[in-house]
Amino acid sequence: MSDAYTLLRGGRVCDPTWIADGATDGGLRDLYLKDGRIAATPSEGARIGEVIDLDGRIVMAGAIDIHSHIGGGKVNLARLLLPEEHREHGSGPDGLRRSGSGLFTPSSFITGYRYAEMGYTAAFEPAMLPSNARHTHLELADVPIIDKGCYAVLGNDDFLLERLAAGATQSEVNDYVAWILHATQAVGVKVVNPGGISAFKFNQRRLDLDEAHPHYGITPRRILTTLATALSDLGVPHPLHIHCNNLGIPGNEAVTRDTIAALDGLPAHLTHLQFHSYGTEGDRHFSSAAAEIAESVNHSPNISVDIGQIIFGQTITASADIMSQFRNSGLASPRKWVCTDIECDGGCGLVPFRYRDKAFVNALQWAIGLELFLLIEDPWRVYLTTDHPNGGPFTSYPHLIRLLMDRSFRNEQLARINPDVAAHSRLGSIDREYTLEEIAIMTRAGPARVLGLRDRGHLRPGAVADVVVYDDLPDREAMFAAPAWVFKNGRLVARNGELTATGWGDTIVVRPEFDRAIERRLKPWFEDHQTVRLGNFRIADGEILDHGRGGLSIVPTLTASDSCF
Amino acid sequence: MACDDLTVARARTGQLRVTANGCARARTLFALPALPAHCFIKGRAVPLDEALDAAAALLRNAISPAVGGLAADTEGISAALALAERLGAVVDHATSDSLFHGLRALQVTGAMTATFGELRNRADLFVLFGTEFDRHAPRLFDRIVRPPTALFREAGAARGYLIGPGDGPMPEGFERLSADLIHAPAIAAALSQLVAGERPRGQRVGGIAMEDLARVATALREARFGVVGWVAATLDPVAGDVAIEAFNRLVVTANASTRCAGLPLGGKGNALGANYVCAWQYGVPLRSRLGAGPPEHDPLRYRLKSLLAGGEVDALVWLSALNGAEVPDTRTPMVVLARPGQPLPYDPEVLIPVVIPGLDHAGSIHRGDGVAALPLRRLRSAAATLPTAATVLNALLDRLPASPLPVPIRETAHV
Repeated sequence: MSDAYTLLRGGRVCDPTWIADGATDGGLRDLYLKDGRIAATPSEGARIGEVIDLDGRIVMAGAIDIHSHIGGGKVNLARLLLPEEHREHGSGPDGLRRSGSGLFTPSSFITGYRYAEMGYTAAFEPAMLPSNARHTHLELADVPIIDKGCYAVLGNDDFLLERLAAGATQSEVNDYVAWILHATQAVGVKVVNPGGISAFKFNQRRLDLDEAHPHYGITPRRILTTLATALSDLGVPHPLHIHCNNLGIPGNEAVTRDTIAALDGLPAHLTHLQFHSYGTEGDRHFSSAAAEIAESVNHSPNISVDIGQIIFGQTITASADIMSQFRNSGLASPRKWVCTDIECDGGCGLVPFRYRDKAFVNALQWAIGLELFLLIEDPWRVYLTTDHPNGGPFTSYPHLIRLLMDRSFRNEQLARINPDVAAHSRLGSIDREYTLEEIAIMTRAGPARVLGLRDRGHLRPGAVADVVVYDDLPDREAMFAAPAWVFKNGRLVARNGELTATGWGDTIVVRPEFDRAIERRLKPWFEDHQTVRLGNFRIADGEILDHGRGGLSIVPTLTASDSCF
Repeated sequence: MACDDLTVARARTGQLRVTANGCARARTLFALPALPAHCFIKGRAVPLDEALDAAAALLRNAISPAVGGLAADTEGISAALALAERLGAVVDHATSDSLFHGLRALQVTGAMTATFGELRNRADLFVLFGTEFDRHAPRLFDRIVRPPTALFREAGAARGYLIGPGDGPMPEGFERLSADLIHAPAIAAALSQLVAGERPRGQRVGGIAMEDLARVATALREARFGVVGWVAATLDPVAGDVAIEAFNRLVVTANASTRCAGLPLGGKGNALGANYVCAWQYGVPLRSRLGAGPPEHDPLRYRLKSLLAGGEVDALVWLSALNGAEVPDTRTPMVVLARPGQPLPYDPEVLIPVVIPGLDHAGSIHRGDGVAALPLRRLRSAAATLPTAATVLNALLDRLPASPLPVPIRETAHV
């Protein structure tokens, strides 16, 4: 503990949660940092250590990436699949940074450095298979600076499907979900193509929302609603994180809207919505359904989304949705791909991909993503993602922010893409430009709220001192690419977009209460059907803490008195 | 495979013994006595500090150093890679030849595979290329092919074919198709054609009659979930990757109409884990040079065995905390970190004994199918006076010209 404050003097604090409290007039403000937190204005005579004059620069909380595939077996296999990527994009050690490589599947150290240099102080790995959880945490332990958390993937695991088919009660499912959250050190639950990954193992190639699973006879609808209910019952702040059925298939907008309807008011987060907003109109039977989907989201206050914007260029798609990835494997560029069936738990599919601006389908995907961003009205419920690396690398966020904030820039880009898309897209007719405050919501306050991070995503006293200071440049891409100052836990880690110090962030987890009697059912399941024993499956706190690489931070569960969404 | 279902008994003396579910390899490892051991400089017993100083002096002046062996737990591997990065050294695992057959195939064609747990419950047909399965994958049959229980098939009823040299009794339901594995690519290619409904020319492929291959193809098409497996260590040493590419094409072809998955078998000394840690920390596999500019990967140029044979390494760090990394018989000046009792071809410049992960200290290791990292626990305390490999490697790092390493932003957890 130190008794000196760091004073950030005279910044234009852009924190929408302060305005909500009526605590700011939008004018200049001083921020005091102490012991890694934002402090209340100290009494006179308090010892001020360092003073940094911000001269009216823009100040925001550290940005939070709610959905980014930054680590785990799938990402690591993607690195191994593409040595060409890593040959082209490498860096040596420089006394501060460790060596590393990669652009869209960067190595662990590089991942942390790049996020921090962009003013991001937390990122969430959205597809941790429970069977791969220990590997995922080992990798994330080597991602420096930023806080990180993981969503455990459920909904294709044979234990759950078998129990649902056998008529398990909701409370049994709740106990299982809570047990998984504890055992895998997760902060949320994601369902990927509910039932579909498992159906593929039975040689079924597509599964619709109300189609019975070929073995268990239950429907994706049942899986979805049971899991969403479980998280709500358990008081897990982040609602079910949903990767809908039929990703990438023209006409899938129907299943996306049906999914929203099926949730019937239950809180849920629909991820990489762009890949699920496709219609079948036009000569090519592939069209934008962004308007219909946006309308559905606008009318469903229980739903939050992230977009999964595509960015033109080479990347790799990495997904647990092996059913979709196998279907798309013919599109692999370069022509090599990976599909793996995993542990009666899930799957892994890797398909390298080059998004081309002159290709009709890719250009339309690009336009659909932007249409969704601009047509969904409430910035508190739509978050900035490229579904890294699936739509493009997270390092393209500054470019994406400019597309959202700068209409003339956006229209210039629109004029360059496939002319059929440019001519028919409604994108050119949308005037909306995101404000700085809306960007602060969709990259900070919104994700923090939907994840239940009470002390992140804002700059009120008590918050973790993750603070980013930007020069107010007219070129928003340049502005967001290289913040003037980035503080993590009150420590300066980057200056003008260059790393100045490094360190270790926290692993963020949630620990709802549950009845441990569920282990009496799970133990024989592990012994009879799995290839890892229950006691070895569970990850102890010490496995994360003992290496001195950051702490565990526990998100409080919601109680009845908390306003949920 | 790295199995986590062993029963281990501990005698009063501290001696461990596998009493159930172990293979020969596991029984040998766990039975290793917890020997007291000294550090040595050229055969002369010295305290640890002196050994570390001598090791640092040797490494400090190296122009083309290498860090090899890498038979260790995740933490030991991480520390070895960090040292390599500091030195500008080439990194490779003692048994990476088999690993690189698969890796090079992956980099050309990709892969379609399934993990142990999936196959245990689902696979109803096994087409296995290789020989000496008992030695390379000792528990393949009792854990995966014929487990006591299975969810989606009859547990004891899996059928299959073993393709490769050898004789002797066959497991029930299995048939041997004798062939020299040098012909594995041609055999797999013919099977792909047959599975796709084409008729390859000729009467025999690699010594196997076409009608026998046609039966295998029919079985793959009719299986609900077939497996094409291989022991990489038994494939053609100079073209194992070509065989694995052909196996992968066969698997992909079979998936046009039914389900099928590839299954790589074998591997030891946590080679897979070492490759994974290198990939996530540096973005590149083993057989890379770290720290001399950007990571530089070259599977041929940076094969450590070749570099040593060519006299192209002037200082070698060899890590052998687990079984599976025999110390190379080389005249290259060498710092050996090994479990006590590790056979040595001669006295190295510096020998530092380290404890064994999973016997003497906790940690983690990767299972043979790559998906599961397993926890290792401390089972005995007799060797507690020896350091872990990571401790020694970090102490070495501290003795070498340093750049600052990351410090915790917050020292304590608020759990």
